Amino acid sequence: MRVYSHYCYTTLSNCYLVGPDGPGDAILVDPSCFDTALLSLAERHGYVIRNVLFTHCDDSHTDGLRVLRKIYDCTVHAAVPTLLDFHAHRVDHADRIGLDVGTVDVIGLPGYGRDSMAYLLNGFLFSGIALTAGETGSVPNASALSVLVTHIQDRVMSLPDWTVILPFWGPPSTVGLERTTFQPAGAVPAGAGC
Amino acid sequence: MFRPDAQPNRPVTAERLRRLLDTFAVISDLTMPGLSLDGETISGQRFYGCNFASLRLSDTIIEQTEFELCFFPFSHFERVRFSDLTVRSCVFGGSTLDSCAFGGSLIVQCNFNGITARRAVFDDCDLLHSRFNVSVFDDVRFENCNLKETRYLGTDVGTTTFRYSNQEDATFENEVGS
Repeated sequence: MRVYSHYCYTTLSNCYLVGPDGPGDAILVDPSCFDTALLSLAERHGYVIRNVLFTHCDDSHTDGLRVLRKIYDCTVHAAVPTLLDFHAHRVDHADRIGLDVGTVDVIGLPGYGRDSMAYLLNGFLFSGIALTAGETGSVPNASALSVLVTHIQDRVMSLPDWTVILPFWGPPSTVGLERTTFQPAGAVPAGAGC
Repeated sequence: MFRPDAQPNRPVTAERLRRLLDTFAVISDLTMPGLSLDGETISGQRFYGCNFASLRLSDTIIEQTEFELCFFPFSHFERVRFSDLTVRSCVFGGSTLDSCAFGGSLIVQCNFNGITARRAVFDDCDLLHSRFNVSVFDDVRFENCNLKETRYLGTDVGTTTFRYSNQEDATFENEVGS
């Protein structure tokens, strides 16, 4: 399995292209943009994007979906039944999605929002906005932060140390590193930085 | 990309890495945790999706080399000179940097959380989106750096030098960057 990180300059965020070692069906995680560089990356490796995973459903995560759907006939997986008028395969915590590159485990991380999901695939955790390197995402109040931190402790910190964390914003990390550097108090109010 | 749960299927030795570097300009998907390198010079290489967890690197020069999605957590770097590097989305968290210099490098979106840096120099570097949370700095210098969206939460930067860097674009403890 190959994982490629693509930086979206419009949202200053990461999206991830996951595909097999050779040409074949691929997955895109959080396409907050779908630009020529990302299209070239997929084409260069002979990938056909068949599945799209959304860790959250606000505009910053979905901006690339309309363009993507004009190019690829792909299935959308999200915590909501429709996304930008497209039908979505609705996922919930503990669901498993069988895809060509492997089985995706859905991990709910409410707190940032009820539709906040992470996806675990072959040791890579696509954590979205809920958990970035050493910090939680921005949350509106202390109660939401408490809910989010509880779920991160229960559902993420229980994963093996070597699990690689690939967030929507900021640098990657590992679960082993988060155990020593994660600081819930690092969260700042929504709208004040990322 | 390396498999996070995989163990190396060949011995992790400096000699093996040297052979790979002599043979390939691009090294990808390599799993070499616990590698120890001393007195090496690595130049003009590209590394993608490699796992070098718990690396021990000393008296080494790494120049004009690219690293992307490479992992060096809990490593030890001593008297290492990095120059003219392109480093994207890499993890150095939990490592120790002793008498190391990163000069004139692009170090974008890298994870330095939890590092212990002593006599470390980051001069003329673009550190966009990199994080240095909960770290210990002793005689560390960021001179003429781009610090846009860098984060230093829980890190005491009282004695750290940020001369000619856009410090106002970084986020420090109890502050929010612009």
